[in-house]
Amino acid sequence: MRVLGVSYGYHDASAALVVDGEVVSAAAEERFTRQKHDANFPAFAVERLLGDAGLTPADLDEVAFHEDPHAKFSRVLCAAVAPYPASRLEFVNSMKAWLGRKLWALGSLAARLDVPVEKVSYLGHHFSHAAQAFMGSGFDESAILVVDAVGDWACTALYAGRWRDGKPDISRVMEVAYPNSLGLVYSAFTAWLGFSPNDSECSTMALAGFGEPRYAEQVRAVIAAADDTGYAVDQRYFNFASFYKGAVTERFVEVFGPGRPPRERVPFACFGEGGEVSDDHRRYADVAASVQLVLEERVLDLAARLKRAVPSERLCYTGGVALNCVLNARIAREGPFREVFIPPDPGDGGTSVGVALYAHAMRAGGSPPRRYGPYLGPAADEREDVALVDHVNPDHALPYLKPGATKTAGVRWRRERYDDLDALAREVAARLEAGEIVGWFQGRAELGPRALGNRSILARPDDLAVATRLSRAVKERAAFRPYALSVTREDAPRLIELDLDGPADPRWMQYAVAVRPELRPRVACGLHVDGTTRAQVCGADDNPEFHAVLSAYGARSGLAAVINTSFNPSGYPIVATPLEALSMFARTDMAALVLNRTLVWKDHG
Amino acid sequence: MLSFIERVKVFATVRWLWRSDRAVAEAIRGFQATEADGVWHLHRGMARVSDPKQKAVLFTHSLEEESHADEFASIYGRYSPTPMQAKHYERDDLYAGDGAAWRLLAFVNVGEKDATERFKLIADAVGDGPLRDSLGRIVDDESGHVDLTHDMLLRMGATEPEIRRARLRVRLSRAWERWMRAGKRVVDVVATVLLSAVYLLAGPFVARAARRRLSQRVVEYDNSRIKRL
Amino acid sequence: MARPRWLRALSAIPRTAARTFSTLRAHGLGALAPLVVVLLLLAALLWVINAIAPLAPFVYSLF
Repeated sequence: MRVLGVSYGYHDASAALVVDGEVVSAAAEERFTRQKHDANFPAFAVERLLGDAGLTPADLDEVAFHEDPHAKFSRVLCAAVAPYPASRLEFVNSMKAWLGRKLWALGSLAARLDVPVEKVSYLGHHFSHAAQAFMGSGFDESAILVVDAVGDWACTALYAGRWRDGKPDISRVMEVAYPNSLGLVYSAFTAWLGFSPNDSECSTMALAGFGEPRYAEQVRAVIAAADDTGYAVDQRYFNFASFYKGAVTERFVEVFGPGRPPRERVPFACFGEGGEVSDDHRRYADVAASVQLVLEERVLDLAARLKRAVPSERLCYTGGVALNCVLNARIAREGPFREVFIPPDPGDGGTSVGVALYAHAMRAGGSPPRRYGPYLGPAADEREDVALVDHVNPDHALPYLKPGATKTAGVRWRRERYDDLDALAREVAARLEAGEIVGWFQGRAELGPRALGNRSILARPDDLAVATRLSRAVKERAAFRPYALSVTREDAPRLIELDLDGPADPRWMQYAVAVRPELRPRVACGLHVDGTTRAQVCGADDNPEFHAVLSAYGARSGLAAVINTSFNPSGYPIVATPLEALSMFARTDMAALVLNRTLVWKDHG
Repeated sequence: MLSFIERVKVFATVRWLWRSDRAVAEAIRGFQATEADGVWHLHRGMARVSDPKQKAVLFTHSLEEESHADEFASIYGRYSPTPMQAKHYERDDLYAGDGAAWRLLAFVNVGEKDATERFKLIADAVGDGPLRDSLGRIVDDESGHVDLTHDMLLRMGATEPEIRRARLRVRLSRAWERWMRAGKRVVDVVATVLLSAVYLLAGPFVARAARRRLSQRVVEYDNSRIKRL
Repeated sequence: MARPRWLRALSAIPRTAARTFSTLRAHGLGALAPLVVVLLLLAALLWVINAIAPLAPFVYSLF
């Protein structure tokens, strides 16, 4: 039986293909359109997923949509008329979108795929999230916690999941209604801090590391504890329904002061020299630390409530807020569950997987599916594209390099194909040790925002000059945002303070973990200011190619850990094709690029 | 004649619509999206070119377009206090299916010729400032592209009459798109007026019910069932 | 005999409208139903205008 899951309409549109209960493939539309968080109908993702599987839409038994458009319409309409007469713009613009397109999503899904509308099913948004986590976990019973911005009506949801009579049985414990949203609050603070909401929440989390939670009491007043739902957001501080007026209200500014001008440089640095820190910058960091702390408190309280209602030792945790690796670590460390599962893409991009798995199970039944991993995206054959390397004159591209990149004339591009993986790994390790920044493009793309060794940029973690070059001339990344480390499973116990057999599954960069103090100098550029890192622990079974490179680097340096950052230019999604990878290689200070088994490098002669 | 109309249009836009920095920033955001869209089309086209030499030329060309997109993204910040949220298009793969790869280049060629002319007109119309400086640089690049893409068309095996026919087709389809866009703008204005009227008239009768519903803290309706229409 | 596909696709429209009203009631928002009736009628009108969009600049320039 074949089921296609589809999610689109708000952000991070995606598609997923489930065949006979297994997730065959899944991908976000942004990877095909080069538009970060693309919300449009995932036409290219669907085409590619079906094409790779040798299927057409006519071969599908079911097409499952990730949310209930009618319920969502009722919420959007409600939110647009409630602030009358102050919400004309919101009403007009949202009704244009809903009456013109979004309300008819199920019919248009059928029309676009040319399948009968009877084949199209749908599920509530948070329920899709719950299914994504529970069905992807491999558990046969679990408590489920979804913390998100907003779906149909729910913002936070607590469920109990179990496998009964060959089918999943996910029952609701509680759903907290819009506008009581922890995700929206965090996004509003993100906007006030001068970052892009719905995109740069990770910047708020990073900035929090530099502050003290001096405003925690004020934030606790904004997100008060509540007996019935765990928390209650004081709406007088936010403009959730009148967002054209800005994310926060004057009352918010009276308490926390004016927000950070977005163009102003953040003077903190995870490594190297930062700038001069003014009182305002200290205040921004302190407010970030405060909202981070209160978010952690409220979600930990929700986890405790869930545990009381669902006496399971296992937690499936998902939703956009589950991308917050500092909070995730506290849930694993301090929460009441013995095992925690967070799916590879806990955000909206993963709901297509959830709804497809659930629709399949409800029709075909069976046993709990195996835990699925992140390498579900399309692969790319580099052999034809890479031939252009012999004919490119890099001097012609010199005027078009990224602003921070080094402009050196007379460089030539070379390439070599390696049939032996170990030889390739040794060559890459030698280049990393020599201080080169290496692009690493292998096999199938990852689902979700994390680069986990298939679409990654690698660098040695102990060299300040290399890390600075990586930030300035490759990633165009602000210095206050830390890099993450990837480490082999064999070396992980030496490097990080994490029980690898404990509650957290450390394979997918979902938890901030402390690095052992004695090894911090050796990975100094992959640490946050508090000595933690968002670690990826990679075993040979998880990703053999990446594990080979890490091991080869370990053989040279004595520690199999490197900086691993996502392979994308600033403002664009992670690269999906060899041509996009070559473009970034061309315009930045990336010294070498591995495309599957082909190494391309800049020869300075 | 068309060029005169274009000149008047650009002049009027710059003079009356771009009065605030916010309006200029919005226009720059559109330019950035157009350049990024061009890169995307070039990459789609390159995937269908098998000759590595031609691929290399198109690749270098795409790097230039990418840098133009970056340049617009960078000067956006000079006109707007907020970070740029890239404008998204619903991508349309114009050259999906079978057909000679050079047809893509005909599209690129016409697009660049039009962009060069329009950017030149805008550079003339706007006052001194970062936008004018950037447009000046980009116009220099793009003028070179027009000749380059024409030369590439010939090298990829197209004859002059074929090129003329392909250009005409592209021009007609772009004109049709412009006409459609103008039509949609009219619909948009009509929709704004009608929806505003509905809001102002019906709002007082429904706002209280909506507020009451929003004050409920839990979702009572159980939506945990898979459904069909 | 199976209905033609376009007819089945068309049937999604009244079904969507009906489901929208039942969802409104289920969420305790029956008071918004008259507004939604007006909005759906408006949507139909806008759809017609949209369908003739290629003619719109000409038609609307007449008055």
